Amino acid sequence: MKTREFILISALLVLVASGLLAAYQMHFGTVIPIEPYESAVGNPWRLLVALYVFLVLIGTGAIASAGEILGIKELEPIIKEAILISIVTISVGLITIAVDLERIERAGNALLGYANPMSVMYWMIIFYVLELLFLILEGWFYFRADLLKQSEKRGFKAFISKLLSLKFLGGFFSKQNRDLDMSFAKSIGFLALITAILAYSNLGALFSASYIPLWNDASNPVYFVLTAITAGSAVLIFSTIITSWTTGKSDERKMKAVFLLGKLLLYSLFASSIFILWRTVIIGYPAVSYLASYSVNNLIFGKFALNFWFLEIFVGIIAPILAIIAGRKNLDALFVASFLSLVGIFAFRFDFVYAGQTSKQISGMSVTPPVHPLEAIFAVGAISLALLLYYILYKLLPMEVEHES
Amino acid sequence: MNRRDFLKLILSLPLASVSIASLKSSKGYAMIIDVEKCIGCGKCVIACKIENGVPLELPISRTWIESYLDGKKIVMNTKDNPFIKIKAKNGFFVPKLCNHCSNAPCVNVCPVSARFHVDGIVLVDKDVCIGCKYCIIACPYGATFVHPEEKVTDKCTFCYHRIRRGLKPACVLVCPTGARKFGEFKEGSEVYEILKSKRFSVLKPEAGTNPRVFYLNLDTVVE
Repeated sequence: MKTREFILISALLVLVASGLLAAYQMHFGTVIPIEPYESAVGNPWRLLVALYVFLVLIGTGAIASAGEILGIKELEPIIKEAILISIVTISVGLITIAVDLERIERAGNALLGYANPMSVMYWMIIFYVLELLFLILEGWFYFRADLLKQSEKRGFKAFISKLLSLKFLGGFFSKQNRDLDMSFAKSIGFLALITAILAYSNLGALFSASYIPLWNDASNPVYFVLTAITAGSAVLIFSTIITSWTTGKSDERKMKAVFLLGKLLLYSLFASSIFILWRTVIIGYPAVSYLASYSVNNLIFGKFALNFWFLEIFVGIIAPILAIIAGRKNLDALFVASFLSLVGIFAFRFDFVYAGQTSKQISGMSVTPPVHPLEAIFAVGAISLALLLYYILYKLLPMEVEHES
Repeated sequence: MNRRDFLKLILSLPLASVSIASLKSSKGYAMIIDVEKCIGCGKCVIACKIENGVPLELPISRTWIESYLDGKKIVMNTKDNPFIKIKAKNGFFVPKLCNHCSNAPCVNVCPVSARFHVDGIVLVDKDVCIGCKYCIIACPYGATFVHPEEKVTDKCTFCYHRIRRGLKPACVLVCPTGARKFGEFKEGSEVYEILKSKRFSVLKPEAGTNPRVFYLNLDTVVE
């Protein structure tokens, strides 16, 4: 292991461990007696919910599946990365929301035994779990041929490949049939895409189904699907470029895919800006209620104004659009644009969750500090966990693109 | 009452008033709160907290009192004891609690069916609740909170453990002015007769939740 890799992994491990300690402290801690979830005096949904929304709405898997189904050849070289990123972000997202539960040990109740089919949240959980399962299955078929190939070599990677390919079971599992695998992957990818759209739009509907004016908007489901595409393309551009820089390997076909994703990012950012304008005006300015205009004004002129105008609009939308347009066919510009749009999307998730609840606060509830230090430590730990998992998977799995079909 | 107040009253009544005819189908328990009788003493809050094991020192409660003084709302909690210290010359008090809505958003959104109706009362199954706090988000009345010790959501149950044994809810029992009335909503009952004979209103009727807590003499729309 190189020194640079050792430092990176150690740093990530330290951050993940800190996140774990923070989660423990939030639930069972005695050293720092805090009540970050004391809902009657603050925001019931806080940073962890915003982080969950950010993580599970990184639609790289959906982009990959759509690319496969629509036969977009340019996207083929980055399908493996896209599937892995989605598996990692949804898994870490589900861990994050489980930590946000007051009774983490009962998280299983939401799936088994006590289901409430009337609840949007129940369906959101079901769709995300299904999407995760379909992505794992799609990824398995997509990787299988390369796993079998890698299992013939020696070493730890070969051992892992043997395990993951289920080669030890013999029969179908030990034979290579790339074409059949690809058609399976494509079919399951279709299911993954459908469940992804259902999950994203359900998450939007989950916020809509409330009396909170900033959230109570029928366009939420569509907007969430759109921002999932924005986040997905930004993450894919960012990860592909950074991997190519760190490994020193530049695959021309992967870079072609990155430029195509750059176009997708540009269009989705344009669509997002129209959506933001539309939503803000529709919610706040027909002045259907005092609460509606209060919450919109609080977002755009109140205490969230800096976040909204600087992080969401300038950093998240205007700067990336300018970077992509000005730096046409320039990887550095795309890299910067993808990073900035991710910062903007995170700011949007944060503002959406917090600013929405301000209308609850004006009915007499005091405002607690928006982010507790333990929540922040956990959030950093969760993002580090996602990076670490992706790094490990990227290292262990056969990521090279060897087929054209 | 000046002309301005009179106009405000007239404009607010169509929003807040509910006719008894629309309630005839709703069986089960109901509570009536007479705003004119409430003196903001806070005994109901203390009694409720003691009866239901809600920490006295924390600003969370199954029932609470809001004072509206000169148009400004103040949420009173046990830290502000004695409650009466707030001058109520130009204001009034509105005791609040879970409205036990017939069309309860908290029941609809709970992903694990931890909230359900019994005799018109919305109850919480504390052995099932996962603490996702969606009910807190969904409730338009802010009547639900996380119990800091039990780590599940908590709210008023009309003291279901008491009324099952024929007792009154703790808040009703201790109210020194009789501002709270409680009983079954059926023809001939005290609650039914009051609602039949007096003008009453519910909180946030625009939410369409069909509350089972009714207010008398609440002449203005409160938040």
